[in-house]
Amino acid sequence: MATQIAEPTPTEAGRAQDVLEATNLTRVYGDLLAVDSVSFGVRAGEVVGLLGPNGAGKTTIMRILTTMLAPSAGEFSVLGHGADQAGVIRRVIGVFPENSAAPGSQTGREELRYHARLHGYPKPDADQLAASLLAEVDLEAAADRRAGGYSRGMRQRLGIARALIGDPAVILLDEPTLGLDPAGRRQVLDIILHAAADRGSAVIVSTHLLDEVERVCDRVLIMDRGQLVAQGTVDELRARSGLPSRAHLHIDGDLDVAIALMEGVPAVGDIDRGPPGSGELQMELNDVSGDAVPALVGTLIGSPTVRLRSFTFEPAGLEEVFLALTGGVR
Amino acid sequence: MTTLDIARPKAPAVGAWRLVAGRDLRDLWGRGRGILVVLVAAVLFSAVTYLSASEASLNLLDAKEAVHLLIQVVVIIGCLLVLVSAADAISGERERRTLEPVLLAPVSRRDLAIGKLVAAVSLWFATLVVAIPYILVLADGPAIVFDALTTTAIIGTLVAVGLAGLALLISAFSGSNRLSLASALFVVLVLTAPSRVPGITKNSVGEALLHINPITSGLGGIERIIVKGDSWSEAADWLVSPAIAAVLTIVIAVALAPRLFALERS
Repeated sequence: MATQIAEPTPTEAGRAQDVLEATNLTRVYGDLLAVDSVSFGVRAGEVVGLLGPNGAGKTTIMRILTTMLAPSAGEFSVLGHGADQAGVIRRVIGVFPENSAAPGSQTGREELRYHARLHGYPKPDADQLAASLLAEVDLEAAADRRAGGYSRGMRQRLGIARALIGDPAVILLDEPTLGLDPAGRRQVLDIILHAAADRGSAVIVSTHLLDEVERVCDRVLIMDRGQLVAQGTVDELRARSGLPSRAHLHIDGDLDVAIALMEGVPAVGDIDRGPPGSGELQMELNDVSGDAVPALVGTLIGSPTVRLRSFTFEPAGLEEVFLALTGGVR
Repeated sequence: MTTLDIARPKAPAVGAWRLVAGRDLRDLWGRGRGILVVLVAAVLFSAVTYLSASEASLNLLDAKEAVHLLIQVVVIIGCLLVLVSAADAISGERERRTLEPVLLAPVSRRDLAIGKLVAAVSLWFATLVVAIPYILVLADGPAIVFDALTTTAIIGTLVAVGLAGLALLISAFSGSNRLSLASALFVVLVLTAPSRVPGITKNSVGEALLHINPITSGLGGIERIIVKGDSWSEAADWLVSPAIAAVLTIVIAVALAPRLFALERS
């Protein structure tokens, strides 16, 4: 009765390249263009953040990639398997859907064992896998308690453990830290980092929490009104946003000389003095790429009349970058 | 041992419907829900049996009629339990937010549908088992016992399976679990009501309606065999509708399975 699904055959070359590729993904609901020709790729071991304001199309993208929703146009593939092979794709992805739950009457161990069996693990292996995953997400002590009695953080970790079943090549996590306290968030983020580093899985995390993105993501996709408005590393997005970074300097010596030196550096924008006698300067840096910052520091260190006591670099906040790229709050 | 040391299976689960049914059965019976509702049914059967036995002792009801009355109650209650369970199978999981993780597993939608149908129909078989002692108490002689048990088992199963398939379809296309349960109960009410209309069999249209309706037709078949002493072949025309309904709803439910398990319905 079961549908026979061919074993995916990821090649070494396939793992080294993008394990997930999306090309011109589009989804239309009636008159609403929820996702508009979005293209991107994700490599093995990479953690990619999917950002965007409410209604940007993040969840629609996630549902398309998890085969829960068919794209109206465009295509995507996981390990080379296209959207028409939904059964195969579901074998090689792990998903933590937003707002999903484990049946309250099942224990954590039963839930993981059941899903492991659905993936085709024989019973003894399913038992072992459930035990290992429960340990990995720190739920060993609650393994035989009903999931209905779990705290929110425990349910999130159980959901992530479920997403790790089958050693997935791609892990898709939709708001995995939603509603968690700082300790719970840290725990979940550590699990995500381990999944990418130890398993070599490509991870896509949809989240609203920008500090999380800075902490765990190698790359960021920013969506707005169904379109992918920017993608790249956090530093690349900062540069693209055109927002200045800031530097805080503490200097011994003549501040006027220091300011004159700084004004000669092309990357430096506006300069503000700190309180009189404090020796502090604050400045905007319009370019922090390449050698711009070392050149700035070198200029001061090389001066015989001023002495640089401290230099603090403060990049543009991701929140500002995000707002700049998405046009701010609507 | 870490999770990475456990060999990844080369193929997905074969016969995954058994796993799905197993989990739903454990959820239904292992946690006591199923046992509770069947116990309530048993209390109802006790009351019907007591009243029927009292009537029989006053010669107001012969043994065949008493058994027939009990079997009608058993079939209707058993089918009602199956219906409620199947009507909750998809819409209920959707509302409890437990559907998506299952849909994301590498399991065919047909396996999911079959597994859920098997779990729902288990309530009918439990009801049937619980009803056996009551049938034995009311039946007068081995011939009635045999007819009563076989008609209840065969015709009741056909009606229960048909209603399970219908309720699963209703559940799949309902926007909420409440709507699913209400719609399923409304359908049963509509299907059962004609048999309660006095004199409906006196004209050909009424007779045809009873034959077409799988519930009234099934109950009519049971009456023919138990009360009127018809053979199975003589009562065959009463069995066609429940048999067709059972096959048709299950075939439709399984064939449409890939479209049944949507995450959202408006």
